[in-house]
Amino acid sequence: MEFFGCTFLAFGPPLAMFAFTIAKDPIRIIILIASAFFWLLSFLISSLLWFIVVPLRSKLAFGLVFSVLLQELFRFLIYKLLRKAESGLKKVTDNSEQITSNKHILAYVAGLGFGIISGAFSLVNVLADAVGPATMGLKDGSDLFFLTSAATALCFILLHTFWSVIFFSGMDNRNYLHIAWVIGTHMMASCFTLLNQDEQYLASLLPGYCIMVATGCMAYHVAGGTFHSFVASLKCC
Amino acid sequence: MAIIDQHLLHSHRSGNVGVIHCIETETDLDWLLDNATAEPYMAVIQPHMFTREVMLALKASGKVNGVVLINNRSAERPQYFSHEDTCPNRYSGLSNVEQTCNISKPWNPHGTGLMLIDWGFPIFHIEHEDTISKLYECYQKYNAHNKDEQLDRSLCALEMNSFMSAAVDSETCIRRSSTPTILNRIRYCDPLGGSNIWSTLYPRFKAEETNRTVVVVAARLDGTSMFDGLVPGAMSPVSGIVTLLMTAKILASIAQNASDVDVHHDNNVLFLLLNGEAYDYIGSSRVVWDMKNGMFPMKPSSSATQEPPPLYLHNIALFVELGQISTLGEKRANETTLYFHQHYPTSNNILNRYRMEKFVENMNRYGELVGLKFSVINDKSFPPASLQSFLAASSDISGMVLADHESQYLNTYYHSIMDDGQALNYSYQNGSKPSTDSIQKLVANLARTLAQTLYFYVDSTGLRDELDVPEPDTYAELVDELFHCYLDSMDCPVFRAATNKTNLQNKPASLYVGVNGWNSPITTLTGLTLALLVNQTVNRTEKNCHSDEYIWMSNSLDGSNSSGVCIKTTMNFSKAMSPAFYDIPDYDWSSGKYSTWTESIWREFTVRMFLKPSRSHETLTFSLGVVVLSLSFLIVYFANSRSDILFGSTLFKLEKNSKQPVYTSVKYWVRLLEEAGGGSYVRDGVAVSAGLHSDKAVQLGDTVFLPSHSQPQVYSTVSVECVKVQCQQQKRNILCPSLGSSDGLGAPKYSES
Repeated sequence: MEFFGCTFLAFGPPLAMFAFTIAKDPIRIIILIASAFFWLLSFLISSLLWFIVVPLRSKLAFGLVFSVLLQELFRFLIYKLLRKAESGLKKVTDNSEQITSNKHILAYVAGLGFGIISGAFSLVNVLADAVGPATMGLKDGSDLFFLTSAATALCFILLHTFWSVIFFSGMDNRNYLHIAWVIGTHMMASCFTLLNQDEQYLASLLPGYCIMVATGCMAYHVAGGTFHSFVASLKCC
Repeated sequence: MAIIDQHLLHSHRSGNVGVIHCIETETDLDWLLDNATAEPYMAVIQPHMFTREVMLALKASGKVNGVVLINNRSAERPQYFSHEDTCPNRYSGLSNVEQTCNISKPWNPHGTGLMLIDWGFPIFHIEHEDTISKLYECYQKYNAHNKDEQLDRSLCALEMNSFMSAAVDSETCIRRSSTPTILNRIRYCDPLGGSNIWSTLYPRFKAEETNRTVVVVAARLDGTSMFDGLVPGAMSPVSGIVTLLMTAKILASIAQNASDVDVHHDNNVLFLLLNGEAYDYIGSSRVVWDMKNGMFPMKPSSSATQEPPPLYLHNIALFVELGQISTLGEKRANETTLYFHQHYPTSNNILNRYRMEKFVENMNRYGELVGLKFSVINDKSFPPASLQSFLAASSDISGMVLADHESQYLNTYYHSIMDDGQALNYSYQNGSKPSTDSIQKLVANLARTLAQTLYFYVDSTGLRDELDVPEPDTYAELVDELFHCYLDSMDCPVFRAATNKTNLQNKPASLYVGVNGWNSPITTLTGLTLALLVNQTVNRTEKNCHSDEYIWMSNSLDGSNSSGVCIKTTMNFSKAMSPAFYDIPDYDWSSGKYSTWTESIWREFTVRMFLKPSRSHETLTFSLGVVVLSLSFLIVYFANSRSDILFGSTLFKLEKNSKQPVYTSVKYWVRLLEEAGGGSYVRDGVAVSAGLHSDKAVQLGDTVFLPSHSQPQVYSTVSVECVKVQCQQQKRNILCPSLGSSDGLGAPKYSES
């Protein structure tokens, strides 16, 4: 029960996004996988770094900071790669396909790839334990642990998607403010999760979701949405 | 009569989970049966509550997924604790012929029979004190308070894993196991069995006459209990085994002193340690079957002259079985009474009666010197004993069972985990002299008496009242060592010497018979010890000490390292496996003639303790997940289907009406856009045309300038390639080509008209 609850909570939204926006287009799937691979590379390097710097192994914050920076570096690399590959992609895709025609779609797909893989890595071992028959709290810990883990994973999946959209557009338009926002909020949201060590789940989730909503609005704006268009889309049903 | 051999433990493949509930009093039990809500439960029970009534109530309630028996060694023991039947081996032995167990006065009066019930849930035993206290702590912290609101919180639970693969009964299981599947044979269960140990006083010769008689001195080698690996079996069978070992030792030393070992004798003594007797006489019925078929002690090979002739049932002159021996009986004036049980119908034979009377007479004569008295019980009921198998096959064997009890066992822990040294009043003396009323002394005296009587029986050429036998004190010390090996730790001087190893497993022996094809360690150790005690050292080097008759052993009992010696022995093993499984073709499984016990194949037993999530918490998590999942599908579907409007990055579709000129002005477009109508396409939510007059209709091929939303000063051009009207003129539903173009802007949907 807890397993399914947490899985649906964390991976329901990305699953829906994948099913409706990505699954129909093979090119998008490829880009998704490629960006997931890039995230894995960043993860590999940050874990190597953690492994090498022996004295700081027990310090969570150290690994976290470098992991965030590395993730952003690899976001930049995949941006570069996709921009380089753009002309090639155009040739590959059918005329009718639109993947290359809207830069934001590329960014969105790449971001979702980042998010899904990071969510998977942060949650899979927790989910494995959530299968049962036990729950948290025998020695210490709270029975809300599974739920908060899933919620945090969801938050970061969505954040990665939004960050990529903002980041790509920022790179396109040389809008360094946007890029700074991405890196800044990434660092901030990650640092808030450090509070989970002391079981202050609310203190880490609430700011995380606030940042998520703010970043989401910003990404929507960057992608061309306005309040008007939002209202318009609601109206015409 | 069918032998019931359902396995005792069932469990789900994924393990049994239940909420811990400690049952210490009747109140706890009643609460569990009547008021408990958070089922299934794991009942945690102390030995004094582990009774038939409680267990059956738990089973009937259906609320229990498993039972844990807490056995704190330091706690006081219940007076009775036996889970064997009141009539052990009720359906085998002589039971096919007659009633040997008086139901109103059964042999094992306190037997609960719990061992023979198919529970449907696992029963575990925990004695580790740390584990016990953790279990109680967890129970007190999470489960014990506000018991009626257990459903609303996380509860301390146990998971037991003890999956057994066998099903239904032995016949089905053996049939399934021997059915070859495509790839390989899957075993579901193994027949119980092991090895009997046999040895003769004098070596048997190759060209021996076939009418020589033997006196059989037998004891059972196995016990049982409800729990795997916990069969201390102190009173049954260890007391009998030790008595037999000592008898063999003393008898051999008498014979060696008389230096008549290599002379031909008309009578011989056959020592038999029978295995699997707790499970409907596996070992003895096998020996009987072998004897009937001329295959005891071993199958004759083609060159029959190479071996001594096989022994048949009619070669048995006398059968003395050593049952439970203890000091628990009444003791009068420094005289311990032991009882010879005779089979009533058999002992009516005059020759038999004479033999047995004579034997008991001699026992009493020798026993008197050491304070032992033997009385004969010749009753209609006959205790469960290996002798029953022999009597069932041949009713004129003169046989007796020697035990400490009259018509009911003195052992209140028969076949249970508590039948250990403590129950036997045994404590290890470690070299010092055991007291006169100790079990060590009793066994030593008994063995001495029996050995003297036996020697007198097999070699009656001269009366030997002053047999050259060492004082029983040294024997009592050896008995002490032997009990130490079985009851305290297998890593003991005697076993170390017998195996010629420097260390063995440091734990009490477990006397469960095991399954066929695998000799339990205690069988091997007992056999080697028998060989060691009889101890006929020969002058051979280790290299030459390898044939069947020779064993290389350590020669010092005190365990100091020795170079080892070669021992010539008649000790050997014979199969203790019911002939029903592989030897008798088309055996009738329902006949009950032979034991058909099998042990299911099982994986390792494990127990885990954890917090089980409360049902409300589980429901909350699950419903939250489902809600988020469905909501996200809805939202994403909506956003995706309206993405052109939502993000405004594609041109709007205007569908106000279809008459020309529909799209007269940009102003009109803008208005329509604000109303979110659609028909043609305008980018970025705001359509501003530099090239068109406000009241001029948009034509095919017109170029429309559209500002980028984020950078209004940058204009993109869109060539109007399709308007709806145009499409309609074709009078066919056609897909208009994309309006999106080289500038990488809007990706309009195709309007299908």
